[in-house]
Amino acid sequence: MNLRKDFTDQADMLAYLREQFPDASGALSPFPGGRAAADQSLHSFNASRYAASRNYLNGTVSRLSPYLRHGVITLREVIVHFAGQNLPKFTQELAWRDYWQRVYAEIGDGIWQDREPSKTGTTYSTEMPIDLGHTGLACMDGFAVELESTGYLHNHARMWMAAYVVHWRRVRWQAGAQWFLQHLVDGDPASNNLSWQWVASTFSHKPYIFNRENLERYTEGRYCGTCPRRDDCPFQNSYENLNVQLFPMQVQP
Amino acid sequence: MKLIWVHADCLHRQSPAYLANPDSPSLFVWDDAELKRAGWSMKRIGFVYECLLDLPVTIRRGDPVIEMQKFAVETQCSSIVTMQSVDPHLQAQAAAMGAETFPIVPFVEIKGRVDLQRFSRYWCKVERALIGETA
Ligand SMILES: Cc1cc2nc3c(=O)[nH]c(=O)nc-3n(C[C@H](O)[C@H](O)[C@H](O)COP(=O)(O)OP(=O)(O)OC[C@H]3O[C@@H](n4cnc5c(N)ncnc54)[C@H](O)[C@@H]3O)c2cc1C
Repeated sequence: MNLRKDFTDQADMLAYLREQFPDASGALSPFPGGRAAADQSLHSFNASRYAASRNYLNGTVSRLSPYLRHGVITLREVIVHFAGQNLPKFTQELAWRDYWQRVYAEIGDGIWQDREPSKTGTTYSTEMPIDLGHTGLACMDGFAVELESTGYLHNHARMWMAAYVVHWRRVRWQAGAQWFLQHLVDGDPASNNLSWQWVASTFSHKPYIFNRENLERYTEGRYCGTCPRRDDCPFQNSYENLNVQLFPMQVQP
Repeated sequence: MKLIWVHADCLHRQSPAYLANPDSPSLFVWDDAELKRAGWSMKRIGFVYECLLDLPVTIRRGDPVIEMQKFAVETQCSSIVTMQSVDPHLQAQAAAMGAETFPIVPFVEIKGRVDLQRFSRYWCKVERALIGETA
């Protein structure tokens, strides 16, 4: 039987998809599908602001990832669109996607296994914490809710969230990676799993961690001011102390 | 005539598979077993579905290999073509269908073998070509 394509609007489509895919949780993401929407993201992206602002949650990023992930637009088309505009940082970020794809082509399902031994000396749980989204940490709860409601997180938020799950909650990266893949509209086994491995230290020289100062700076204080746990913040520390606290069993090189 | 298998790694109207076969029918199959395994939320399904509305593609659900074979008989197509993917699961399905695979246009051409142990080694190989292009 052919599935329907003749919808009057998005609500009509969603009602039909709920019938067809009763196990799929939640609603639609704010990212519209299709090439016109991809072109709209491409044309509205002010690439000259990217390098200086991309690390800030409010910074300028392209939001092209769902379209690139599903081949609605290609990396080649994007780079050709910006030819001659001198965008080394943006070009390098596009290259990260190409790089992870090449690694995936080489190792296949091996992306689900540790690429290298972990450098943390930590023993991990295989289960996701059940309190994600209501830990009382305004930042992490905000990211979890945003992920599950919109299907998109800024790159920096992905890094913080992944580091929190793996290093603060001591959960195997695979569990976090699977959670992301259920929700991210750009969910890509290569970019996602290999980024989680980079955070975890199974595809990098050391684990990625952050502290409150770093998060507060790049979120421009969006969460910390009103956080119920602002006086009991697990991220409030120097990198030196956090390393000792989070990785007590780490063998120093 | 050839039948085009459209999968979720290439939802592009101008893909080499479509361009080479402008009059061919095409099919996308929601892989029930894979959806159950991966547990995709409605956000992901809805996004891909909207992308499919853009394409001249028929949509079905079930096992992609079986559905493609059935659709080939219905549409009197003698062979199957598709786009290359790095996903081993899609590769295995393409092989099981006996599909001819069109390569995707590479982001950057690399001569010889590239060491993928670290991004920095890959970047050394491609930086000049890519930065040259956008400079
Ligand atoms: C834990 C974690 C999980 C991630 N999971 C995914 C995923 O499932 N799918 C995905 O596409 N990206 C993933 N990323 C990479 C990155 O966060 C997103 O690609 C980016 O945030 C998408 O937003 P954008 O399109 O506005 O990016 P921009 O900054 O505008 O970059 C343009 C494009 O370059 C590519 N790109 C940029 N940064 C990266 C990166 N670090 N790695 C790979 N490609 C990059 C993307 O295709 C992106 O669309 C993950 C990163 C982390 C830390």
